[in-house]
Amino acid sequence: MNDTEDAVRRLFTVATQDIPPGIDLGHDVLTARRRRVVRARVVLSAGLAAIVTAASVITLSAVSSPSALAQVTQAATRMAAQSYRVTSTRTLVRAPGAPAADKTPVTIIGEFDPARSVGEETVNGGTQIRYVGSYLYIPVFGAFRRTHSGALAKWVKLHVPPRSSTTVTPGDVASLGGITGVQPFNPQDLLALLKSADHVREAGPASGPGWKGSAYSFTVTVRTPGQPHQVLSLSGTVDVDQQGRVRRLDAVESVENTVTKVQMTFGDFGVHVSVSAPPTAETVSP
Amino acid sequence: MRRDSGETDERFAAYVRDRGEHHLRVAVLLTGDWHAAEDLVQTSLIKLYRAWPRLETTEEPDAYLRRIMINTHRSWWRARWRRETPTATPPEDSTADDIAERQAISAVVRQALAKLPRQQRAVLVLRYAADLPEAEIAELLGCSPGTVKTHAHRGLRALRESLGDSLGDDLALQPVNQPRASRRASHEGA
Repeated sequence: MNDTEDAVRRLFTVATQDIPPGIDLGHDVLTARRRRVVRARVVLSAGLAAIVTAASVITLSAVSSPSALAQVTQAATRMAAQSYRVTSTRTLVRAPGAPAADKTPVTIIGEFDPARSVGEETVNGGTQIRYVGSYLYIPVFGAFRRTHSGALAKWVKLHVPPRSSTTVTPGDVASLGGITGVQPFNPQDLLALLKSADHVREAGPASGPGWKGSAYSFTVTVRTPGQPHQVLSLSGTVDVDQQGRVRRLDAVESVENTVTKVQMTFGDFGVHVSVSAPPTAETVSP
Repeated sequence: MRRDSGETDERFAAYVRDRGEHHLRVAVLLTGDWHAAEDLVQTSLIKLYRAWPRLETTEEPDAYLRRIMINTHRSWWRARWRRETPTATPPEDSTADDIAERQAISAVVRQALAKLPRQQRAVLVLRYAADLPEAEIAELLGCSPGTVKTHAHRGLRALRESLGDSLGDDLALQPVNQPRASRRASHEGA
């Protein structure tokens, strides 16, 4: 056995150590068989009325119990209609060529009112980013820019088109480079991604201070906008409370070889969010 | 010989308990993400269960299940059921750096595997995750042992190119030897 084969075996071992919770392989098989047996016995021993009744029960139960996918997509939709506070932590786990400092966790605390398209977040207790309408405003950092009137700019104003990615695109990053020093993170982008989830499974009960609900594991795969396309993969667990709101989200985001761990906690639903755009005279567009 | 259904279920459940995780790990390398892997193993187990009473007690069910998995995965692939790329991995409860690192490696490795042609991927997984000899892989995939060697060589080379720069020295692949490819094999794969 040569070194390469050893290395591949080690790789494959490491790459299969993260079995998610909630997988019960034999259960579904045996349950399906038992259902078939029970169904056969009902057919043999009961009359037509009993069969109709049983079928009705099965149909009703199927209707009254939304699928895990529906629960998650409904929760994501619900989050777009109410205000909340959110604490997020983003950790760059793997980024070929990135400085080690970039792997320091970034903590973002914010409050958003998606229905009114306003929000504000504070990055690592310092930089404040504002979201107003389809624009976001980031304080100028490091480099010096002047507004149209010649005054020193305090804010960079960016138009934010709807996107299905949780991160700004490479083009956005290039335009921000050296100007802001921070990367905006609108939680609605990530929540919107949940509506595109291609696999969702119930992963058991979930709870937190003052709430109870269910956890769902999910995976999402989308193409990032712009050229060249990049495939963004997001998977993790989302906790939904009994009111159908997202309470917690832990995920790993992967774009090419860059992997980011994302953790978000939502609360204070219904909070009044008061955010306004900075004065035009203080803003500049890249 | 017909067996009591309760006994059959118990034996089947014991088999799944003992070997299910192994096949799940193989499946995730074939499919790229855990949910698809679970679907693949569940679907294959259902087929295995139907055949279970007919299996001799001395027969190795692993080989039977592996064949079902390979065939099922192939039929899904042909039906374009597969997704374009694998997903990253669901996180665990812990936030420890080593767990995050492991998840990152898992995501990167599975993405790299997913980029390979289906046959190359299957050969690598069967050879290095399921530890099957080349002859058995050839029989499973319906090709010659020489083709298996070629797929293994090309798959390893592609993996090395894909992962060489992104993984640490301890896991990075070493250069592979010159290929011993057969001309026929060059037309197989994806």
